[in-house]
Amino acid sequence: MLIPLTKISVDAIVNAANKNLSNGAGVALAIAKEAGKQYQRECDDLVKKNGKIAVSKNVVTKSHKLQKTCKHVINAVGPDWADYTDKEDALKDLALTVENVLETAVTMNMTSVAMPPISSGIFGFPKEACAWMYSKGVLDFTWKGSHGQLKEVILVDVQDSTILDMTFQYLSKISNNGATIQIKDVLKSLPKEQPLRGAEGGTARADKSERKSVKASTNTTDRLCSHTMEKGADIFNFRNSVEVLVYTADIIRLPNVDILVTPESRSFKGEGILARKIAETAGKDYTKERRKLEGQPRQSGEILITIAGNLKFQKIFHVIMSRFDDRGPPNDTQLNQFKTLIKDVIQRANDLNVKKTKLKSIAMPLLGTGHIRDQWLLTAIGGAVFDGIYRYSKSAKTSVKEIHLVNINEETTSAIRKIFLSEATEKGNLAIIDDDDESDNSCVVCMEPMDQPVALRNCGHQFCRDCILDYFSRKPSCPMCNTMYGKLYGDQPVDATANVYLDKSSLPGHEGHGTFIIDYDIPDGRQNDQHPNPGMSYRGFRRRAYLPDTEEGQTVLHLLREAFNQGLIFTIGYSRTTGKDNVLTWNDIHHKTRKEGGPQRFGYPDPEYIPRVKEELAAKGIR
Amino acid sequence: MANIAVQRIKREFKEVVKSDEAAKSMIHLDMGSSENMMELTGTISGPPDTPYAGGTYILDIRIPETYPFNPPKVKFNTKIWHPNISSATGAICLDILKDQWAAAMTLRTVLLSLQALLASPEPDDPQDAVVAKQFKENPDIFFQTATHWTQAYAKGSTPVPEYSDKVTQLMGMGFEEHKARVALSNNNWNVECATENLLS
Repeated sequence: MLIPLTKISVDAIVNAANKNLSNGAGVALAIAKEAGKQYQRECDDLVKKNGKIAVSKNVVTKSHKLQKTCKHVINAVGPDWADYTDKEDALKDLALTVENVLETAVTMNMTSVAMPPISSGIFGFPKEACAWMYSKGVLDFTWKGSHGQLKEVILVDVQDSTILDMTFQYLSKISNNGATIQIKDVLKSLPKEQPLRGAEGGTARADKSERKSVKASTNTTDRLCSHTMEKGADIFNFRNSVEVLVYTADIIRLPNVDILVTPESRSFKGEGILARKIAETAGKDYTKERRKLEGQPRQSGEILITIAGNLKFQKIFHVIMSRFDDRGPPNDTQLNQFKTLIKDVIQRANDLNVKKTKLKSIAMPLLGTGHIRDQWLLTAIGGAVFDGIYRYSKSAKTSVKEIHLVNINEETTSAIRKIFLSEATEKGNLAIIDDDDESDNSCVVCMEPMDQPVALRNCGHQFCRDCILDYFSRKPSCPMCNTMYGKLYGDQPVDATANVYLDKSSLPGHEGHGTFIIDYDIPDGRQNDQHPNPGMSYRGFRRRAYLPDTEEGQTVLHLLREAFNQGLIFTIGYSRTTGKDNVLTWNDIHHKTRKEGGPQRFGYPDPEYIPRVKEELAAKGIR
Repeated sequence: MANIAVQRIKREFKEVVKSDEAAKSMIHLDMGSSENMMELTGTISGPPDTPYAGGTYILDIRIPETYPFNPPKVKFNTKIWHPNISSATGAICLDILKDQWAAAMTLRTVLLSLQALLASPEPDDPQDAVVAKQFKENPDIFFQTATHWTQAYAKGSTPVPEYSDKVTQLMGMGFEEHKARVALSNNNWNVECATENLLS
């Protein structure tokens, strides 16, 4: 399930903790925040009393403020990928961590536990490795026999479902043929690690399975933006003139970048985290030069340039700006100023090159967001960075060719990646048509003669540029033929949850197979900006649906999960069943809400159902 | 309404008015009383060789703010007996009015698609489950019922005397005409079942 760990209801949730239970990042931080100070105190006391917790072991604490979610927290310490020279041991320890958690749950007479992907965050396990060991831990535990009261193990992730999907695949593959998972085989199947281009101290990882190139087969010269994965970084190419690399690393340790950009407040006292780090490492010469600039207040938008001292950069750009507020969304003026600022920073480096300096690459964190963890906010700010770079890429001479967007925490990197990917698919699927190529066709969207015509990459249909961008912002498909160009996201309420159970009884027409029961739960709520009537309230509901536990049924379950994660299962609008408007309703992906009664009563048997629902899913780009 | 939507509707309006189909009075589009063009009225004639032949069907068309990025909202104002159209609300189950909508489609193509839907129902993807079941299991009764509804509601000229008599019979018992017709239609014109249904 792709929901925050702290938002479900189980006997225990598992905390991906470290040896000191300091709960300073990722899942641990999220849990510590919600569970409150008393929880942290209990953790601290435990460590004081019993010492650090060994890798693969766990300790149980009370849930404190998380009482509604769970009774206990199982604080499990997974292995840190970087600590192991022999990765086989790392894998063994992770599987053991998972198994130990389940053992603890049995000892404590728990019936259900929810677990995040341990060691996948700052502990740096490759996603496949994590998914395999998740699967191995669960399988090894199930073969053992004594399961006590434990009925339900829920795997949860808040960020993206890659690991969950892999685990689901591995588990359904393996549990069908009854084999166990051999660590040696897993090790062989993992991508070889390669250091990221120039990032010594970086935690960015190569993840070859993700090296899907989104580049089109057609030439890329006229593309507005394209995306590739290489050596652990997402690389976005803007108009073939500027490359943007997005990854997680310690920015001040990058060896091969010319300029480091750091934010400063108007007092210019070097108070930010990055500014302080630079001051600590850059040395005397740097401090001296910096002193000269201090002592007077600065204007927002000013860019002060110093040498980098002992750091491996040539220059440091100190950008004067105010931090983003984490209490509310940034307003348009603020974002627009930020876009301009980003463009100005790069442009400034570009201008220096006229005077014979050669500054080709520039590195910056997501400026002014060091304290922000909210994904939505980060995404909004990341979008402004995209626009800023995009504007720069349109200028005639671009001598700065490489922009590294480097952040120390994965949350920020993932937010940037997300917004860049969505912007890139939007812009990357368009090819500009030569304006001389006078086609007297009109655009089917506005029905006017074409203005700045562009063609779509795969189907070749042509539209005005603004029309197609507008269309893509609502639905990433061709207005002519509905060819999909990206993921479709629906307006299903964000607090909707789905739970899947496997029941032993069979559905009519699928005798001999078990039944998946899907329980959807959507609380009451108010329509938001995406919905037809923002502010108006709607009634939530619970719905139960059934699928056979056959190969086909599993495939559909998998697709439904994707659809759910993309917010496509429910919508708010007109219900064709009840004839009412502004209600929560199914969104054209049919579910069997009864076990029996045949198609007329939304039940089984219905041999047409599986192919039909697959078609409906495919219509939304899910296949 | 967004500029692009207004522009398009104006053009599409002309397209329908000038079309061959309009000339043959198969389809018709009316601005109605709405000045902002958000609400239109469409008319299609029942296709020949179907139980809807000779009928005239009025459609309520609502143009969303986001047109043409989202499909127009269309429903039958005229009551109709068809597997893909709700006999109670007039709601339509047609893929191009949902996720298969594409901006390249127009009000003209929507009206023509609906006419085509009347000629070839899709009982496997029903809007009205009762009608769909009748269509599959008792095709003769379905055909007669649809013909009868065409005469009763859509100015059709083919009478089905047996059914009209049964409706009159129930009306004689004090039931309202439309309710009687629905009950009879839902129960394959079995008067006893229909009466029971009305009383329950």
